[in-house]
Amino acid sequence: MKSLNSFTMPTLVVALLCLPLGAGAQETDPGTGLVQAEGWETVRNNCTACHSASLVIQNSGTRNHWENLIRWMQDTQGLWEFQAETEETILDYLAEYYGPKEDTRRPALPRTLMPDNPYPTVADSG
Amino acid sequence: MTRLPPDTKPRGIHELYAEDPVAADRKLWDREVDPVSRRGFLKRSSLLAMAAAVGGSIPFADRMPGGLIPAALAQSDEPFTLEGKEGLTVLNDRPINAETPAHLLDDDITPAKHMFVRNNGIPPEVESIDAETWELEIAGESCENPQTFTIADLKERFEHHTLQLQVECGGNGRSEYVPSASGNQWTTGAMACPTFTGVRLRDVLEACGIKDDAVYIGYYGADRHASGDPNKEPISRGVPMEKALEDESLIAWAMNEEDIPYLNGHPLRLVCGGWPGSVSGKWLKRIVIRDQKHDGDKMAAPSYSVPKHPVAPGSNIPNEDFVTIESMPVKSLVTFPKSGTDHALSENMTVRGHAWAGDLAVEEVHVSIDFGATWQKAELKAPPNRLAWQRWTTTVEFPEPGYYEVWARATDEEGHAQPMVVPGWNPKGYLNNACHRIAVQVA
Repeated sequence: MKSLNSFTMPTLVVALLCLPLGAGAQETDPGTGLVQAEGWETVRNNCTACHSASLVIQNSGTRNHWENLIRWMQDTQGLWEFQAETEETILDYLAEYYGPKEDTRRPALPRTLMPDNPYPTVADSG
Repeated sequence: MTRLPPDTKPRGIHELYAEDPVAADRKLWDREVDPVSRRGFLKRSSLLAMAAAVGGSIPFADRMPGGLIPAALAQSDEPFTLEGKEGLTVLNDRPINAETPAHLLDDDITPAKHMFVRNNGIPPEVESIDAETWELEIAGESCENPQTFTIADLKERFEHHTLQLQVECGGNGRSEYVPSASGNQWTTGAMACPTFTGVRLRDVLEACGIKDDAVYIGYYGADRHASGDPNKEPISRGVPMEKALEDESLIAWAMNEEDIPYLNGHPLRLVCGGWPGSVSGKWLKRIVIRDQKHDGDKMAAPSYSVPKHPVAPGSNIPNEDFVTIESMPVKSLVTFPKSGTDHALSENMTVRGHAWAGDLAVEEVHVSIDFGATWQKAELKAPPNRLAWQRWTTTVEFPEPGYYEVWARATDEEGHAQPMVVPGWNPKGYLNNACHRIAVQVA
C-alpha cells in the first residue's frame, strides 16, 4: 500500500482523509511490531512488562474486549492501575489498530437471524 | 491452513539484527542495556530469555555488548528458533510460545525438535535445574504419608513405563474463532505425540497413601509467574483422581528415550494424555492430593473452561456458568503432503496424517477432495497404546486439473465426528476441532 505522503493532489488528499484511520498504510515499530500510531509508545510502555508485544499483536477485539482484558490483568495478573488518560490512550489505540476480526471459515448468522440471547454480548457493550 | 498474523512469520535472527541490532535485542529478548556502558541487561527477564534460547547460563552477561547476536545462534541462517527446536512458528517470545506447522508433525513419534512450546510463565533458569538433586514432594490434605523423592528414588522404587501420549494445548485452533478469543492465536500446531518414560502417577500416590476423601490432584512446578511476582503461581492445575489413577498417567523424566527438552519440562513432568496439555505440569516439584477440586492458578473459570451449555458467538458468560475441560475432542491433521504442493494429474497422491480423540479411540477417518461433497474412507491404524494418536493413510485420485483442498475428518468410537466449520464458539477459544485442510494444485 502507498503511504499518504505519496499523494499530492488535493482531491485525493481529501478523499483519503475520509478513510477510517486504520485503513491507510501502517508503519510498524521494528522492535515490537506495534503499529506506529498515536499511543503506540504508551502501549509498549504499559503492556510489555509481563509479556512481549507479540501477544498484543496477534489478538484483536472491540474496545470493550480490550478493556475486559485489562481489568482481568489488573485483577489477577499483577498489572498496575492506569491513570484515566493513559487508559483512554491505550484503549483508543487497541480498538483502532487491533479491532475486531471478521474473517472466518463461516461467519456467525446475522444478528437479525439470531434468537434472544440470555447473555449480554461483546457487541452490545463494545 | 489458516492465515498467520503478519508478525508471526518466522524471521531469520540475522535479518532482525541486520535491520536494527538494538531493536532485535528488544524484540527477541526485551533486552535493554546499561545506558552508559551499552553492555549488560537491565531486566533480569531478558537475560533469562536469552539464556533459555542458547540453552545455558551467560556468566559474563553484564559485559555482553548490546545488539550482539549470541554466537550459539549466529551459526545458523535458519529463521529464529528456540534451543532444541526446529521449524516452529514463534507466537510469543515472552512467555515463549511456539507451534509446529502440520507437515512437521508427520513422524509417527513426534521428535523433540518438533514439539510445540506453551508456557504460561517463565521457565526455571537452566542453571538451577539439576536432575541429580531435583526433588518431587507428594503432599496435600488427602495424602496419608507425605514424602519427597529424588528422580533416582522414583527410578529405583517404581516400575518404569514407556508410552506414546498425546499432548495438545486446550487452545489449539483458537485463531479461527470470531469474535476472537484472547490469548496465543494457535492455528493447528499445539499438538504432539512423543513417547514418555517414567513411573505411574498411581504407583507413587499409592505409596504415599491416598485417603478415602481424595477427589483431585494438583501440581506445582518450578516455573515463575510472567510478572516476576514470586507470590504468584504461573499455573497449578490437575485432574480428578479417576484420571490421575489411570494406567497411562505418568511422572516422566524422559521423552523419546532422552532427557525431556528444557522448554517442555526437564527434568520431570506430569503427563496425563488426552486432556488439555496444561494438566501435564512441567518442571514438576510438588503434587498435592486434594479433598476438593484443586484450586490452583488457572483451575478456575474461565481458564481451561467452556460454557456448560452452548452459547451464541460473542456472549459474556459469568464464571459460574463454565465447566472445566476434561478430555479433548476428536481431531485429525493432514501431515503429508505439505499444504501448497503441486501435483501431477497423471499420478495418484498419497495423503496421510494422524487422528486422535482425547480419552477415546478414533474409529474412522474420511478424506474429501471436493469440499466435503463426497468422502472416501482412509486406512486407520490402531494406536500403539491408549491415548496415542493413530496413523491414517489413503490415496486420492484427481479427476481433472485445478485447485483442490484435501479435507480430513475423524470420527471417534462414540460416533462424534469433526465439524467442517468451526465448532461452538466459547469465550476463551478452546476445543476447535474443525477438520484440517490442505491445498493442492493439480496440473
